[in-house]
Amino acid sequence: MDLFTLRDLRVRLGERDALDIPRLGLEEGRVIALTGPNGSGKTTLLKVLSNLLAPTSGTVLYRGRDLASLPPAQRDEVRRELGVVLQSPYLFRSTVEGNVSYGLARRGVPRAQRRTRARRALEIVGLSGFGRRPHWALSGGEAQRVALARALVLEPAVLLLDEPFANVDAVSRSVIERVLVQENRYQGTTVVFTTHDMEQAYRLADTVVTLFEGRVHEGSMENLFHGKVREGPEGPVFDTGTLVICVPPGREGALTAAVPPETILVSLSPISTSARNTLLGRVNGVRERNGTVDVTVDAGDTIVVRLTERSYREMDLKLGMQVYLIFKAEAVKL
Amino acid sequence: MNYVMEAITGAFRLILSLDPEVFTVTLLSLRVAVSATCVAALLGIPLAYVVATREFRGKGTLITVFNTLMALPTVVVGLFCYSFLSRKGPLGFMDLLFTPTGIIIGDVILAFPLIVGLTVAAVHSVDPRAHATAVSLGASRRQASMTVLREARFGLMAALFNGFGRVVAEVGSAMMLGGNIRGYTRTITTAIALETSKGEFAFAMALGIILLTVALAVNLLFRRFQAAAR
Repeated sequence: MDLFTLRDLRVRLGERDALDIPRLGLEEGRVIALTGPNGSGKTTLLKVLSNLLAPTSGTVLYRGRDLASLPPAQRDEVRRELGVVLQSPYLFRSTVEGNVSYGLARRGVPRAQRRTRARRALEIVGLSGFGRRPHWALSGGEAQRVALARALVLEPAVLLLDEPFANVDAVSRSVIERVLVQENRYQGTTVVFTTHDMEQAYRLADTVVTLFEGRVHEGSMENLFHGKVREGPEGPVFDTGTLVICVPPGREGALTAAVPPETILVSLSPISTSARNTLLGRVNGVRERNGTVDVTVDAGDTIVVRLTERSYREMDLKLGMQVYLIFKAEAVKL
Repeated sequence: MNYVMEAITGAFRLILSLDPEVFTVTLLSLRVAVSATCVAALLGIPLAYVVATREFRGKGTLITVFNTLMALPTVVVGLFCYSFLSRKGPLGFMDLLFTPTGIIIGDVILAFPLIVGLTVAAVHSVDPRAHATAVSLGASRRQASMTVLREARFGLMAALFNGFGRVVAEVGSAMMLGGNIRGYTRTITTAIALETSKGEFAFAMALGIILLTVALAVNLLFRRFQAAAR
């Protein structure tokens, strides 16, 4: 069942649409990553889900209920099922323990119980013995972990985290990754986090939602181009200024185009094929990622091609080599 | 020179012997100043919070007005309240003129703009993430507001101590509204003014020393509080 269901969601910030999502469901019990470049709307979406920002129009259902239509007391009740960690978290002018037990105190949990639960939460994030430290005597990574403990201690049904891995040292990062996965696996907590690191998103999350200019982008964010559709000699083409690719007809207004890396063929010589796009480029990067190899090719714009390890080895690709990239017009998503 | 020394030694003798007159006057001064500060804070802090956290038309002007009123001359407040509290005034029936309550009313008016102005500044200086963080951790609106005020506690304390300092040391309004009645409405400052004009320098000096000691104690308290609240 979907934990969050968004319908016709629109958020306007100033002059522009920060979010425009006709329909999106986020499933319960999953680890969900919201990714996308800066300004793509991932933080805005997280704030909407966290109930910290009201959408301009449309509805957000949490377990099938529209929070905006609930009376304030009930809404507060539901809101308390959410554990939110904001970007570059703010710690209250208090001790670490004071920070961690903040939410419990607001829920009327007695002092002794607050103390034990805060200690346990600090243990989970690897900060045992930090309870009495003042808020200002922490590194960025430690502060981020305190903020995580502050949300965990509330035993939320959902954890919502905005860029939990940004500006964090390696140790804190691995602790946070471990905690998120554990909470999801053993407590059944749904975890939603934003990140601009695609690799991390795919590694940690069951579901990756990619945002681009406030819209949910189907498929991955690789090979995403900005430009305009115009009429070419043999049907519509998408022109980025440095790259012209043939695209399927009927999407004249599109401003972005994406070519999934798996759909691109690599060849060392030009081949005759029914695919309408053949681009000449030069290999300028190779990266291995669990079982597949990403080859980046400079063909006017940088294009990523995903190969199996075997075909990569068979082709014996080297940096600087000239290659032809071949893909169908239908493979291009507008 | 000799006679200044005489006044000072006389002052210490009066203080050390716990002179009942000195004692009564000091007690009233503290009682009046503490009550006035509390009332002004109870009215001023919520108002300041609303002013600081809401956007509305004329907000800037309102803040400027409060900042200007911080320098309100005490005699003007005295005069203003006098006209309301005197027999012929609109509140004359309450018989508050020349009572400690009368002095407190004047002092509340003096402390109020100071506390509002400084609290607005203090709340403005709180990181805007504090409120969002409180809400995100399940605080109700009221709890989140209390959290923001708690985060502003340095500035809030400064507002209270400044308000207290202003009213404990003022003489104009206390003289006009209290009438300097011995054993009833005589405060440290009005007593100093009177005793000096009578030539009783030792007595005036004793009260002056006590007033300075109060100011010192309040400051020390403030410093300690700041260190603890860091």
